[in-house]
Parts: sequence; C-alpha cells; structure tokens
Amino acid sequence: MPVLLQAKNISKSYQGKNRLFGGSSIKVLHDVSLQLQAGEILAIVGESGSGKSTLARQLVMLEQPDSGEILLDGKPFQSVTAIHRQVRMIFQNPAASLDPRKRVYQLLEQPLLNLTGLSALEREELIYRTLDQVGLNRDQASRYPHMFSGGQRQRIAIARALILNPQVIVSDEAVSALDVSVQAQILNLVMDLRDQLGMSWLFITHDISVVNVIADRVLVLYAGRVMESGSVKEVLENPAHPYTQRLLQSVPGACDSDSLVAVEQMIPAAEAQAMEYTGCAYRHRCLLADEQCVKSEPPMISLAGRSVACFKAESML
Amino acid sequence: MADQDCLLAVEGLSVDFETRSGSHTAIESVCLDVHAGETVAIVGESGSGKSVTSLAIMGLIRKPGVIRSGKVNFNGMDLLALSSYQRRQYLGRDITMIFQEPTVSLNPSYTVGYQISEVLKLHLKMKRTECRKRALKLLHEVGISDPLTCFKSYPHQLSGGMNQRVMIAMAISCKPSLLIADEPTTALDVTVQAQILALLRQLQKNNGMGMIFITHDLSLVPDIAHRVLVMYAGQIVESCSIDDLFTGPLHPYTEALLKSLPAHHHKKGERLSTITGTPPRAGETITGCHFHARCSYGSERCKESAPELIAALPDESRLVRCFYPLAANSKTSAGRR
Amino acid sequence: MSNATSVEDVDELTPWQENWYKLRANKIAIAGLIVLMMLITSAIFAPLIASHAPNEQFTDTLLAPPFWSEGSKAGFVLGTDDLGRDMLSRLLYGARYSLFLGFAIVLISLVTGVAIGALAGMKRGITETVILRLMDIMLAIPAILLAIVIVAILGASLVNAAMAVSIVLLPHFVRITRAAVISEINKDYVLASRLDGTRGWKLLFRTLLPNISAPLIVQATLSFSNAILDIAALGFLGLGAQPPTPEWGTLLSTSREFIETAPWTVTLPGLAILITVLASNLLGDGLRDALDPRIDR
Repeated sequence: MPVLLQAKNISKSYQGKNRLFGGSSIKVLHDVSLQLQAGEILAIVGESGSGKSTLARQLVMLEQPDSGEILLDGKPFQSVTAIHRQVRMIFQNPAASLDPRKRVYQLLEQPLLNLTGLSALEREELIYRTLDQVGLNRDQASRYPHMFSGGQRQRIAIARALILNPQVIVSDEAVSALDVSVQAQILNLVMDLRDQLGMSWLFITHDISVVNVIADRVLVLYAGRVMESGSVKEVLENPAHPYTQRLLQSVPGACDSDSLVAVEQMIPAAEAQAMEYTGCAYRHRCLLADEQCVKSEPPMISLAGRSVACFKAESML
Repeated sequence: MADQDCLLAVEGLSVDFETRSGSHTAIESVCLDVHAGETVAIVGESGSGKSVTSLAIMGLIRKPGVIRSGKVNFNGMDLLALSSYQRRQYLGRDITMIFQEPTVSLNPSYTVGYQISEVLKLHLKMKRTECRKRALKLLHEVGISDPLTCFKSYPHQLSGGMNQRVMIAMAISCKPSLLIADEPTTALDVTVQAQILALLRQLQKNNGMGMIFITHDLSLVPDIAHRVLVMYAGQIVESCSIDDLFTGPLHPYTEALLKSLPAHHHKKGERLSTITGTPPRAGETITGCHFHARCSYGSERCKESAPELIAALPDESRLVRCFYPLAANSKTSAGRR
Repeated sequence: MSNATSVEDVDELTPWQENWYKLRANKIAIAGLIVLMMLITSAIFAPLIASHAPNEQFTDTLLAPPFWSEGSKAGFVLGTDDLGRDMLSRLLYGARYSLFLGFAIVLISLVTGVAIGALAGMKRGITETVILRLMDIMLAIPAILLAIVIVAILGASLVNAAMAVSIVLLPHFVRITRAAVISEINKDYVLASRLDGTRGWKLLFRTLLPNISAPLIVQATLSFSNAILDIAALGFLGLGAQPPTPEWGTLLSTSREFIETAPWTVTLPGLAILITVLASNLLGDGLRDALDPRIDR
C-alpha cells in the first residue's frame, strides 16, 4: 500500500512555564517518525506526557515542528489551507470541541464556506449526506450541541472532519470520554467509514484494548519518543519493549496485578520531558534497565517484523 | 456474611431533582449493603444515577436535588436522619470518599502535607508533630517512594496518580470502616490505574474496610470487587457476585454491556456488539421497564408494567429487575481470564 | 416519573432562551428592565407626552411647586423652575439626552474596547503589553478627573463630554475582552474553527465573540449607568451640556441656588438620575447572574 502520510524526525519544544526557575524550553517530541499507509488505521498509544497531542497538532499543521518534515503523498506540506482540507482532526472531548453557540448545520457548513467554493445548494446536500453517513437525522441539524448526548456529539465531530472528504483523519482520544457502550458504536462507525470510504485514520489512544479492535498497525509513544512500532498482531502478541509489555499488563484483568510494582516513581513521564538526563527515557521506570540504558539512548532497530528502540528488545522476545 | 459484619445497609433510597419543568427522579428505590472486607461495585453509564447514589449516602445532596425517601443505616444509625452536624462526626473519619479528578479535588493553595494533617487534626485531634509523623507514614503506606518531598509539594506539582494516592492517604488516615471510591481511576493513565487498583485491594486487605467502588467500566470490576450492582436509568437492574456476573448475567442490559466491551471482541474486522438506541434522558417519563426500548428480548408486558427487583435465587443473593431474566447458566464469552 | 410536558421542551432551548428564562426568574432585575423600558418609551415619545415645550418660559408662574404642594399651578404637574419652564417637560426631554447619550457612549466604548482588547488577546507579545499599560494608566486616573481634563482640552460641550466619557469607560471593555479572548482561544472548539479555515477577524466575530458576549453584555449594562452619572456630573460642573439644554446634570447645576427655596427643582432631576441608574444596575446584576454559565438548570 502506498504511504500516504509520513513524518520524519519531528521534534518540538515549548517554552517552559516555570520561568522563575530559569525556565528553559521543554522538548516534547524527540525525533518522532511515522508512516501512515492509505486505507489503514494506525494507532498511536501513549499516556499523559507522551507527546501524543502535540504530535497530532503537528500533523494537522496547527503548529510547525521545530525540525523534521511531514510529507503528504510524498510531497512536503504546502499551503496551510491545502493541509486543512486533506488532514482533518477530531478532538477528545466532544462537548468542548463543538462551538456551543452554533447549530449543527452551521458547524458543518463552516469548513465548506471557508475552504471550498460550493454553492449553497451543494453545501446543503453535502451536509445532509454527511449526517446520514455518521448516523444522524437531518432534522437534528438545526439543534445546538448541548442538546445531544456525548456519543452523538462525537458523531457530529466526525461528520465535521469527514465533510471535506480528507485523505487522513487524526483523532485524539476520540472515544476516551465516552461510555463503553457508546464507545463501541463509535468504533464501529470508524471501521465502517474506513471500509466504505477508504479513509486512512491516525487513531491516538491510551487504551490498548481499543487498539486491538480497530487498528492495523500501532506505534507506542513514551516521553516524546517512539518506543516500538509495527503491526498490531506482532506488537501486541509479542511486545519487544518493556513499556509495551507494561501497557498490556495494565489492561484490567490481564494478569495478576498484585505482581505489578505498586510503588509510584517520583518521576512521571511529564517530568521526564523537562529533566536533563542521559540514556533511555524509560529507564526510570524500567525493571530491566542497566548501565547501558543509563549511558546511551537506544537506537531504533528492526527486529522480528517491527521497529523497536530498546537494548533489551531481544531478551523480551 | 454474618449480619453483624454489615457496615452499611441502604434501603429504598430515592432522590429527585427539581427543575423548571417539574421534578424528575434521579434514583429510585436503591438498596445495597456492604460488609467488612467486601467491595461492592456500582456499575452504570452516564445518567444511570451511580454518582447520585454515593452522594446521597454521604448526605451531600443539595438543591435542586432532594432525597425523597430511604434509609442509610450505618453502624445502627440512619445517616439521613442525623443533622448535618452529627453526620460530620462520621464523614471523613468512619466513612470517607475519594473522587474522580484527584488534582482538582485537592486544595491547590495548600501543600499536600498540610491537607493530610488537617484531616488528622480535625478528626483525631493530633498535635502538629504527631500529625506530620503520621502523614509521612500514610504517604509511605500508599506507595509514595519519597514521602518527605511529597509532603512539601503542592497538588499541581504532582502527577495525577500521585494526587490520587494522596487522596487515598487522606481517606484512610482515620482508619475508616467504609471507603466510597467514585470513579477513582477514570482520569488516570492506564498503567497508573492498575497500580491504584492494586493499592486499594492491598489496603482493604490490611484494614478490613468495606468499599463501594463506582465505575462505568465493567472491565475493572473483576479486579477489585466481590459483588456488583448494575444500574440503569436510576434503578438497580441486577445485583450479584462477580463470578455470577461473568458466568451468566441475568439482565439483558448487563449482557449487552459485557458484550460491548472491546476486550470481549476477538476477530479483526468484526464489528463490536452495541446496544441500539440511547439511554433515557433525565426527566423522561417511562412507562414499564426502563430498558425495554433497547432490549433484544421482552414482550408487550415490558412496555406496560415495570418489573420489580426480585430475588432470582431462594437465598436472595442474586437480584434482577426483569420479567424475563436470562437463563442463569447461559455463558457469555466475556468470561474471566 | 416526571411532570415535564414533553422531554423535548427541556432540551430544546437555545442558549439565549436559556439565559432569558434565568433572567425572568429574577424579579428585581425584571423590575429594573421594566422601569428602563418605561423611561426609554417616555424619552422617545417626549414630544407627545410633555405638556409644554421644554424651553418655553411662563413668566407668571416662576418657581411654582409640584401638584402635591400648596401653591401649585394648574398645568404644571411637577412645578416650574426659576425661569417658569415646566419641570416635567424639561425632565422628559432631558431623558432623551441622558439615555441617548448613555447608549451612544456605551456603543462607542464597546466597539472600540472589543477591537483593542481582541487585538491584545490575539496578538499577545509587545502589542498586548503596550495596550495593557496604556489602559492601566487610564484606569489609574479618577474617571471624573480624566473626563474633566479631556473636556478642558476639547472645550465644554455635550459632544465633547460624551467623547470624554467614552474614553474613560474604554479600559474596562478592553480588559474584559482581552481576558476572555485569552481564556477561550486555546479551547478545542476554537482550534477546530481554525482547522476549518477560520482566521483573523472572521475567527473573532464568528467564533470568539458569541462565546465571550456574556461578560461584555454585563459590562455594557453597568457602563450605561456609569455613563449617565458621568455625563450628569460633567453637566453639573458646567462642562457638558450648556443651559438651556435640559440635560439632567445641567438642571441640577442651574438649580443649585434654589435648593432651599424651591427644592423640587433640584430633587426631581436628582431622582430622575437615581431611578435610571438604579434600574440599569439592577438589570446589570440580574444579567450577570443569568449569563453566568453555572451548571444550575
């Protein structure tokens, strides 16, 4: 399958908030590379502090990365407008991502007004067609977002992303804020859209069990670095990175969790970004870490059909 | 479990909300009991009334919410019949609660150590130096590796997981008999969630306290609970032990919920099983069974009259609110691993 | 279970309808609104309601008291002033000045303030700093003093007084707009709007303004009462409307000497100002509560 979206060595820093204490910048993304193939769903798994939301913002060109490049169809990002048409985003909290003062019709019409030259009639037709696609009624188009349930609001957000017929949809924790049964409906919708429209989807989540259901390939992110990436089957059945394994073990009921280390480390991932340290980013929490892990950062290697950045990868498999 | 072990017995608790358009029922005739060393999970989706239940038990319902009826028997007293002054003697000491968003639930203007000491001073009347020693011990007990640094930190300087541990430390500081945990891990990362659940289990084992664990995620329940109450649209629809829940749920809603869990799904490309329709909106009048519109079973009877919560077995340990409960030995594939 | 006539009713309210219902429940605010409406109507229809022309002098009924005192003259319900002009008519026509000026001043301040505040909030950096410091300077000077200075520079007239008061009220709108813009601009729905291709002024008007209108509306209502007071004060000091213009503040100033002999010439304009300002403040307070997005349905 052709590679549709490609990110090469993306790095991004933000100005530190704590200016009082000599706030230097915090590097949120370190040399992140990924590839999204046409018609596939790539899951990006990460917890808070992993940089996944920042990565999403770079990919939709809400911000510019400090270094590295992003290619769409093999060509670097051209105009901002072109990218907004081709790569669309869905946010985590459906209540917060829909303008509370606009009716659904206006919300869906906005991208059409700004980025296309369709006539009023064509716009109306497209809006109703898209509402059908996401399973909403036409007569709901005149309502305000607060009149809908969480699941329905997320459908509206999906419709808004879909309406420009983009090549890629990036969703940042699209189902995390939803009840389990509603989550199932939305996941089904995503799969339907992928099958019917050939949508390529970049699905950011922290929930491994969702990855298993919906994704073709997966990329594991920790402290702004790619830890492991490969097909879902390979990575989730035979994780090569200790962090991936830890995520799998954390699924409720996956294993006897009393055996998990219960002591909270003083260095959560978010702080690891700001600290100066050498070696692997995960070593503060890794049970396999040794001197080598402290001294140098593990390079990304190809192993057993996936890419992994860990010195201990071979011993994991 | 012997009756003298029974810490909390809630009978017929009903809460209404008064709105502009009249009053609507938030929860209806909720009954539950918790024994020492036992965890009861209350599972329900948004709007099911699970949080209202826990707030009502603690007596934290304020206008426009009104407790219509019910008794909350704790250690032989009805908490709802007490004045708020009397109730305050127990809240925070014998019954404590932890909430969903730990960083927001802590006071941002005081250090964590100060807040824990405050609880100790208030309920146990300890002196400052004793408070500090005890607080450090508590922080260690909840698995914080550097209690002293944590003691001096402000909530915003700590991660979500650590803040939740601090909340737990505050909650167990006076050795409560009952801990109510309202979605304590929903806002946390999945690795931290596993740790917090392990911590709660360990504390329960050590202290012998009873726990009510409220969640919308059915997959968490086997890790932490002994018994489950499933709520839908303000009513309890099923009450049973953990084993019973996974080997054979009796209520169609429970079955549908289990089936829609992503972890239950096995084949790639296969769609997840969902529940058609949406839950009833707050204030909606429903005749008959609240679930009948979305139920794949049932008959006309379900539309006309509302089923009561009745025992499915002679010993009253399994309750179900359904005219046509599923066969008790039907297997769902979401069995415990 | 529920007494709602239909579940559709409860959730069908648009955001503005919600706010209106909340306001309606506040009886005092509605009282303020009604009084204000009555004043506005009287001002608009002054030529029809007033029994005489405001500047017409009736030399044989100088300083006639109002109808409830003895010695009142027929046809002059609220008495006359020292030049024999009908108090009621002067007050009614004076309402036109005060109310119209109040609106105009608030409108100018609002529009300018929102534009400047939005600029500060969206551009940040040096633009923001300069604007904020400028506003801080303006706020540090007592309002009346600042107005006096401006009028002294421009010359004493009603128009100049109005401009002075607009300038004095400006910083409040700037600060509110800037703060509201900063707090909203990083929210998801604004980001989504940007991803939909909305930029610059379009982003401000279509996406941001409707969502920050609440504090602005409240500030506008409260500024309205401030504007009336300031214009009256300037009029009283002789720096605003000049006699014989029946602006309420000017009425106060020209009648000052009669406070003991003909108190109604002073108290009546004073009461008029009081009632207007009170009504508008009550409405403003009610609006602040109604537009506050508490989860309080």
